[in-house]
Amino acid sequence: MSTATATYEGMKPGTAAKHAFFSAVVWLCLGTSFGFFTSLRIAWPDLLNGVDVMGPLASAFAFGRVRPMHITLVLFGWISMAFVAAMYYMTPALCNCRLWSEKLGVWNIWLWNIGLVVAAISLLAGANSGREYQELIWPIDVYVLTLIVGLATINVFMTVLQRRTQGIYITIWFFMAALVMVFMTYFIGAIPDLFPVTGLNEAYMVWWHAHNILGLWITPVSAAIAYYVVPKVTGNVLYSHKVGHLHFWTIVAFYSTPGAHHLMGAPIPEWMKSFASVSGVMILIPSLAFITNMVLTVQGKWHMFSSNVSLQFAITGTLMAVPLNFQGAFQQTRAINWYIHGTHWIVAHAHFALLGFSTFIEIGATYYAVAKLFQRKIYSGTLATVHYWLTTIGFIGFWTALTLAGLIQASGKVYNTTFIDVVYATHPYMVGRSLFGLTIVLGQWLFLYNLYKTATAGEPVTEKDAPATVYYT
Amino acid sequence: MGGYKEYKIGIVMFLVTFAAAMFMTIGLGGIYLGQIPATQHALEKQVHYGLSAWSIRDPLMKGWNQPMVEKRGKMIHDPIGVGKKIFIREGCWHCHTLLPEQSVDWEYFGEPPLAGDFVGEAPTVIGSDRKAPDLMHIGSRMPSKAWHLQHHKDPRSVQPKSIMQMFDFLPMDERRALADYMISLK
Repeated sequence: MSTATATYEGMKPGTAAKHAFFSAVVWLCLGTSFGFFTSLRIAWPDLLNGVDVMGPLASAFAFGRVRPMHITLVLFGWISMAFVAAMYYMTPALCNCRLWSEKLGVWNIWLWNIGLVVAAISLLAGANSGREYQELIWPIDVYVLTLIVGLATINVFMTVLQRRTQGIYITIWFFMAALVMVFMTYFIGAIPDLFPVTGLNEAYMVWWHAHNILGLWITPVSAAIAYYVVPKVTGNVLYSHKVGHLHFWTIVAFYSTPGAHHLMGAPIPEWMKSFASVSGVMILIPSLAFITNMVLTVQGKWHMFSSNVSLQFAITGTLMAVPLNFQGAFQQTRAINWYIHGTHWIVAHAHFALLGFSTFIEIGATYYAVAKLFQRKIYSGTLATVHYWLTTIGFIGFWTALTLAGLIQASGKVYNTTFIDVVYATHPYMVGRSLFGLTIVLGQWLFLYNLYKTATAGEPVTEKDAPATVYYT
Repeated sequence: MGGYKEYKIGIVMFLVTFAAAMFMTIGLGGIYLGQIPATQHALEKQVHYGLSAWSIRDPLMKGWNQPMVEKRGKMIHDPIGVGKKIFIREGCWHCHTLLPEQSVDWEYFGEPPLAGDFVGEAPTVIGSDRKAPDLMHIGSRMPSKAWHLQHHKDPRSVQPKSIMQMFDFLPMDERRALADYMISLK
């Protein structure tokens, strides 16, 4: 067996994945909490004024500085780190080998954590690149590309290289392709930081990045995780590899092209807008291929939806992709975009993708993998169910409040209503958003507690490779 | 087993497809956008703003590398450029757009910009979701510097329904620069 290149460094298999999952969930709790904090500042702008405790920190906790921190922590702390955690867990499992280097994996995660702390401090200190979803300054961009994305890529690719299986499962194609694509996407988003790119080209690159950090990283990897979790938990074979091929290739071909639809109201040439709009509708092909594949994989095992929390989260996330993708595909066409562009509707849509779709699938994977990695049952099934309902109800309320607020803003735009009256009219919805946001945040802290107790006090499972169902109370 | 040999075709196809998609969007789009000539307005902005992006020479985004101008016999950093930097640093662009859109906005917020108006500007901070009024022509709508100073210090003293947070923690010179930037946006 040619495992000479493998270095185990006295670490147990799965160490890197354990570090990654726990770090990611801590960032999830912090990221959502900061999101809640920013929502409070919109609902009650004077909330912290006159509080002496703030003192010199008043500037650091201003809305404009905490908001990018919320985005950075949930996007690069929780979602992306949970992706790499899933890669560190699933790649060896699917390749029937060990992770190429556990040590490199642990280094990767801790360099990542340090990077996020530095990023958070820099954002609170006001060092902001002024580009949404790409707010980090260029030295941190370079750090992200090399020590975060770079190291993870090396580890995953080398693991696949030394696999002991004949083929490569669909999850692994997505992992590998997405790592290449996220490097390119992040690099293009960082180009205006690194090189003197100005004007509409800068705006275009920024929005190309903002579109594709979702299109080429979050969507494919979330799907890849579902491709692993759903068949594994249900014990069913994946419904169709052919449909999986369709999903993969249409993502690579179409998903990167509609970047310009974020600039529908900007003076970019018409051909760019039309091209983006048409290819934006085509996004429905990969997403419907994925949803169909997942839902049909669960055939005959739907009863597990109510008994297995991993499946519950993963399938809820997958089903959220139905309204999400129809909304996304059509709201960017010119017929609809002029109406809802720049309103809270879009904020609701962004949370649909990141919280409703991606986070749900990742939470499912986290419950599954943590139970497996620690060889223990989830500490409390009740807490997990409470977590599910807090997140689900919180999210649906959150989305509804923001969407309604968006429709109010849109109609205000059409009827030339005085702007401040629109702001005033959306206030109750902002309060509602904060309340539902708090529900979500509470759910995530329970999640962290439950995982911690699972790792330390969960009932051990002795069977070597027992079916996943064993791991749940 | 192991290796990537049997995936050669797949890898090539992936790289070709991805490269083609990138060429069509970033490549062709970038070439087109890069050839747009600067308007007079863009040139004026370049003179005032200088480089607005974060730079190692101005790590705290205080405007230390903005162009110099003479004011009352002293050389200082152009307050308009410093103001724009503060606009970026404080994340004003998370709520305020700098882009009346080509659809309905012009009736309320004034003329949409021309493509050439942005040449030489980075970051453009044209905005995200609009929780607050567009500022592209704020200098024409509200030319009073005193109003802006008061508004930034305590927004609800001039607009009771405002949800903008107070920027009373900014030092006075920064608030003056921000107000200068506001009234420069004609």
